Amino acid sequence: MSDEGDALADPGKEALRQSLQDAVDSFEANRRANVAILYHPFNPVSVMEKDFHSSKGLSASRTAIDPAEQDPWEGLQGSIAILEGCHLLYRMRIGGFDRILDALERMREDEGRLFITTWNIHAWNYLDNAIGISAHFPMQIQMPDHSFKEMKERIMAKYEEGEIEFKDDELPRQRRLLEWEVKRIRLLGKDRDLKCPRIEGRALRKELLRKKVYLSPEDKVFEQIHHLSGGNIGVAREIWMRSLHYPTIRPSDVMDACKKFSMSREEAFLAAQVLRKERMGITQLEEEIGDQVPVGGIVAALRQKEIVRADGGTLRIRAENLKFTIEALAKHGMA
Amino acid sequence: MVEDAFLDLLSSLRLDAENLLYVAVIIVAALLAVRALHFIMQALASRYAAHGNKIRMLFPLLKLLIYAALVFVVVTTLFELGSAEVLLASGLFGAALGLGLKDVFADMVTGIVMVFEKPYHIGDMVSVEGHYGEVKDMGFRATRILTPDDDLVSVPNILMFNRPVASANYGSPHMMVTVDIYTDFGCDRKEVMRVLREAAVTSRYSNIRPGYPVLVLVKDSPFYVRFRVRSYVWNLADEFAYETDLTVRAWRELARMGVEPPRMGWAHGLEGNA
Repeated sequence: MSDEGDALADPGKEALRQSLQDAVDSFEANRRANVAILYHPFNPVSVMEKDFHSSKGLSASRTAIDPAEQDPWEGLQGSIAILEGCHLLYRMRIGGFDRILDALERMREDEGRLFITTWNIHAWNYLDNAIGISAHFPMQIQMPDHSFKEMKERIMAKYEEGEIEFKDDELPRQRRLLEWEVKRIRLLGKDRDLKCPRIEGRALRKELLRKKVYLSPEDKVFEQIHHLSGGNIGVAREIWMRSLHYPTIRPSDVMDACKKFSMSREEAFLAAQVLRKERMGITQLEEEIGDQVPVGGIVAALRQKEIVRADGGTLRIRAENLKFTIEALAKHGMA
Repeated sequence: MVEDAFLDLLSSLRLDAENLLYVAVIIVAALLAVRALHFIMQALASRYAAHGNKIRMLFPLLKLLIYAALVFVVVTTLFELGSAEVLLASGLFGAALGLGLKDVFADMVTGIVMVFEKPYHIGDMVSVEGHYGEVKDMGFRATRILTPDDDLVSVPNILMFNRPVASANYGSPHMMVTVDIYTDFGCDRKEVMRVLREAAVTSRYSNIRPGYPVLVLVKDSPFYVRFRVRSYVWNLADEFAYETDLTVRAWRELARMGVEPPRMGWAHGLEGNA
């Protein structure tokens, strides 16, 4: 086993670097467009100073938002400010938006500085509908999902050829005729990531010829992982680790690693908070939404349903069940 | 002449044991089918909540088809109808209308028209003739409304057709809820608006999605200020729970900020002096 998986070129990161460079170039030409980078849980993005280049030699500083009431402006220096985890600037209660509204106001007033910010996409969607944050960030970059091929390459890069034994325990199954993949398309002068349908030519041809497409056990495993992770590499790794009985993995192991469920409105409300902030302490939940739902009882129910896991009083959504959590939250209009 | 036709109609009646048993079985089967359909529609509406009201609206239409088929089967089984019998049956039907079934018939016709015209849907929150509540069923004779006090009100269809009916959601499970908060005249309006807006967007009942805005409107009166919050609930069944939640949480914060409700005694005193 090697650590090559993370060293592989990430096409999403390459596109991000290009967009950041465009933002920096525009800023140097006196056209400031503050940047919001939106990422999915378990697949966070980290922006480094080396991800862009300033032809005027502008300096950059980087600050990770602290959920505690610490002023993020204290550590900011230079003309380019990278603020990571901006979704932690709000709290889900009356008066809980003061900090984020203040931050947005300061970003607007601080015209001599370019702000590059990162956000959990679920928190971003909520905040945009609640307080209209997208108006403050003319450039929004959504990190793309990984394709089936990219995902397979990144996971398998850690292993030697033949190290993992893929065993088939299902009848031959046909590959889906229609797959969805994210493509970067330039629309109205902006690069946008759009989910586009892609017809599986080989499967279609075989379907027309009425022949079954044989999927290798390896392809079956990764097709299921890709489907269950929605192209999220962080989730895919978690599902892989839970499915792998080293050195063997079967398609049925992948299905067994995930669990489908439904949620009550109260459970969905609490789970949505954890999803948006990625990790939340029970005390923090009590403080924010304790006047609306009985936090202790609902946390116990969510743990029993294997929707969240608790590590020392801190809750996280279970990565392997992220897809089904989002589906359940969508039924309550919370994702 | 009429007597002859009536006698012909009676003579076309085929009241033998086999036919009667057949008709009885058909009637029981139709009633069971309507019950089963109702159960299936409710289950489907719960499963596909986003399209729940559309699914429920199919029920009156399907019920109408079942009953129409039932009437057809019963009549053709019991009578051997020629053109004279049909003419006579029409005459008898007209006489029955004149003799007092006019209102029932009007309700039934209106019920059929409403199934197609859809002035409101099953599941809608409607207000008619001072009754407000959720439409639970659209029958042939009456529409049944469940009020917030758990009273089932049957409103004759002709009344639903002739009177203005306000539907708060018209087929959508998401509904705008209006909550009024009254404060003392001296309050900081901007701060109260902020509190109310945040109470709405942080409520577990709210529908915070594109196309469902939260609005806070202010209206000054001589002795108080009315703040009106207009926002959407995800599920219309939560209308009153949302209203309560928003009011309680907002007032807790407003009281902490020193905002007071209108001083009614003072206002009444001034009115009395005036």
